[in-house]
Order: sequence, then C-alpha cells, then structure tokens
Amino acid sequence: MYLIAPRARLALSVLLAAVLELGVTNSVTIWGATGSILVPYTIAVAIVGGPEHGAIVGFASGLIIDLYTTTPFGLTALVYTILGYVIGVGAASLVRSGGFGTLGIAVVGSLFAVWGFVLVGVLVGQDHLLHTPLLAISVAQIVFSVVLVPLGLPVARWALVESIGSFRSRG
Amino acid sequence: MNFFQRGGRHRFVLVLLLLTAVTFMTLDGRDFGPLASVKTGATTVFSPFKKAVGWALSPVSNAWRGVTSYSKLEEENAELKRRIDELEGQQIREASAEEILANFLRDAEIDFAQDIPQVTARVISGPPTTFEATVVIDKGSKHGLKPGMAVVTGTGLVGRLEQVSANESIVLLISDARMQVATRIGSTQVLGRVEGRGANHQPVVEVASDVVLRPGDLLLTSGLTGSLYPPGLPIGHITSGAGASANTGDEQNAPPADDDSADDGDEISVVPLQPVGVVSAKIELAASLDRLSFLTVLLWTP
Repeated sequence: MYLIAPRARLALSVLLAAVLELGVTNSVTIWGATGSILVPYTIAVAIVGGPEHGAIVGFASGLIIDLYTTTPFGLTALVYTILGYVIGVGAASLVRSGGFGTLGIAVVGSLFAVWGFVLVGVLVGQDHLLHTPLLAISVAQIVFSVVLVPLGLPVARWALVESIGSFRSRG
Repeated sequence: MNFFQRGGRHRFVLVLLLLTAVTFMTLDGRDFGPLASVKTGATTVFSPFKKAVGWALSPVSNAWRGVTSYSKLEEENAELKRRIDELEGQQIREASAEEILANFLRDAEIDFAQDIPQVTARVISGPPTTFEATVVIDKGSKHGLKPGMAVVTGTGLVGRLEQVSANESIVLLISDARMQVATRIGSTQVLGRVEGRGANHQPVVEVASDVVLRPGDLLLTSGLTGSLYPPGLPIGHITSGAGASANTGDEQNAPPADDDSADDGDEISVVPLQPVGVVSAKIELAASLDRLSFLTVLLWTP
C-alpha cells in the first residue's frame, strides 16, 4: 500500500518537522516567545502510536533540537522522551474514558514540555533557564500545540499506519 | 496488572532512551571529543536543508513577523523617518555628499581592536527556543572561528562564540543569563563584572560595595590575564534610571572577577577573593541586540 516502510516514514516526518522548526518557527513569535513544532508532533505520534512510538519520536526530536542549542546535549531529548511516553500512556487511558479531548492533551503536553525542560535543566545546573520568560514560552507552546496537534495526527497516522496494528495487537 | 504486563517492552524502550540521553549529557559535560565531532557533522549535514526551507518559507515568516510586530515596525519606521530628516538637515549643513559618506563609514567601521584579525559574518537565524539568547552566524571553523572568541558590532561587544561547526556558529549573546564579562569602568579603571539577566532584561554591572557607580560611566572589557575578551571592547554604560542599588551582604566576593565563561577551566586568572559586598546597577549595552544582521568575530584567544 505504501512505498516507504513505516520506520522510514516516521523518520522522514520527524526530519521534516525538524527542518520546519529550525528554518521557520524561530521567526514566528507569540508574545515575544516561540514554540516548538516537534512538541506537538511528538504529542500527535504518542496519541496515535502509543508510549513506545511517542518516546522514540520524542527522543529523536529532542536530539535534533539539542544540536542547535547551547544547553547540554541530550537534555531536550531526555525531556521529550518522557513527554512522548507519558502522553502515550495517558492518552490511551484518557481517550478511552472520553474525559479529555485532543486539545486538552495538547495543552498538558505543552506545559509538561516547557516546565519539564526547565526543571530537569535546573537539576543539571542550567540555572539560567529560570531567567527566561517562562509564561510567554508556555503560552507560545500551548498555541503551537493546540494548532498543530490536530494537523499532526493525520501525518502520524500516515507514518505509523502499519505499526499501529502491531501496537494495538501488543496492547 | 494487565497494563504492567503489556507495558514491559514500552518501559524497556523508555529506560533505554533515557539512559542514552543521560549518557549524552554526561559525555557532553566532559567535552567528549567524538560526541562533539558527531554534533558538528550532523549540524553541517542538516544546515543546507534548514537554510533551504527557511528561504522557501521566508515570505510566510516575514508576513507573520509583520503582523505580530506591527507596532514595533511603526516605531522603527518613525525612527527611520526621524533619522532621514536628521541626515537631510546634516546634508544641507555640510553641503557635501563626500563628507556624509565619510561620516557614515567612520560610524560603521570598528574603531577598536583594530590590530586583531576579524571575520565578518551574517546572522542567519535566531535561537531555536526562547530558553536562550543566541544567534546563528554563517561562518565556522573553516573560517578560523573557535569557541570563546569575542563577537562585536561597530558599537561594542555582542557576545562570544559558544558552538562552532564547519560553516556555522552559535553566538551566546551578552544578555544571556550565563554570560559574565570582567569589566573595567572607563573613568575610574575600577574592575567589576557584567552579568546577563536573560533576554528582555537589562544586564547589570557588579562592583565592590565601596565603589561609587555613576550613571553614564562607560564599561570596557577588563583585559585581565586569561580573560576571554581582548581589552578595551566597549560593553555599555551605566544607565541613569537604574542607579546603584546597594546589594551588600550576601553576594560576597563577586568583583573583581574574571569571565565565567572559561567554564572549560582553561587559563583562568586567579583573583584573590575579598570579604566585601557588592553594589550593582543596570547597564545599557553599547550594541543593540535587536535585529542583528552582521557581526564581527575577533580572531583572538587568550
């Protein structure tokens, strides 16, 4: 049905999101701060593919961001891995219970990504993160995620279409 | 119970990825050479794609910037009109286009650190996140750039090179909260320390509590032995609004200090610590960090 294998599609989609993030989004600011495209895409993959895919995509996304930032290499990957996993676990339960919508998950995931990054960063000595406009960054990330998670869901489904079956059969 | 049984593989993947990330952080913290090479290689491979997409979608980002920064653009427009009026008036007074050109060139060129080789670079992007005050320039190790080198504009110090790959470098701006620069007050030659306080906040200067800080005092790089920056680079001046706020007591031993930035531990000059308090005042930077276009890297290492 598809010419590209699921893993290749997933890698391709992450690279595309990363290129968009690094090439464009740093000039798209909301209230003086910018958000990340890779956070909503990680959330979208976690919702569609579950915790394992969420963690893997979060890890890969974080590593790419770490290439272009001056914080310790691996810090963003660590936080986004946990983000993907937690959203994957949480989304499965919450969507089943019907209590939370995708947008709610996007908001929670955004706050988790921003504040988790600051918390872990401070724990490893990056105290300067406390001097950043955290409120503005949180708002920008929430806006990015609320807009982009719904757009990322079909892309994640395309990337994971054969993997989802195996994920569900395991689950 | 069922969840834990079926989640075994997920948790294994999670733990594996977390351990890998922590290992990367540890190796990076210890300046592990091969990891730095991998980072540099990956950045170099990735950059052309990033540039291509940035170029292709620049109309979209420009349009967005126009929408979100409309009031700022209006202010800039008004300021430019004012400057045009000023220059036109000057033109009439001087009645010589050559003189105007000479004045412009005199303002634009760097009249400090002239004996130091320089590389001019174009700013190609801002930071990928708002968590740091950085810009990316289009010159790297191929052009002789090394981490730690000072970056300036025609008006003063802007920051230092933090990461250098083959064709690109990340400049840590002086407003970043990690930046500390040993400084010398121009009028009194007293030593102190300039500290960044994060984007959108004015940096501050700290000196020993028995020093009087006067608004308008010019701050220059100190030139202390082992300092990352060449001596005499303009940093900024103490603002009249902030005043010198007494801050004695807790923060002992701050000035005179050397650049923190030598966090790699190389060649830090040891300054005896004095049991004194500090006073601090906000400063206005000599170089404007808004809308940086071209930067000059001083090919100078301590």
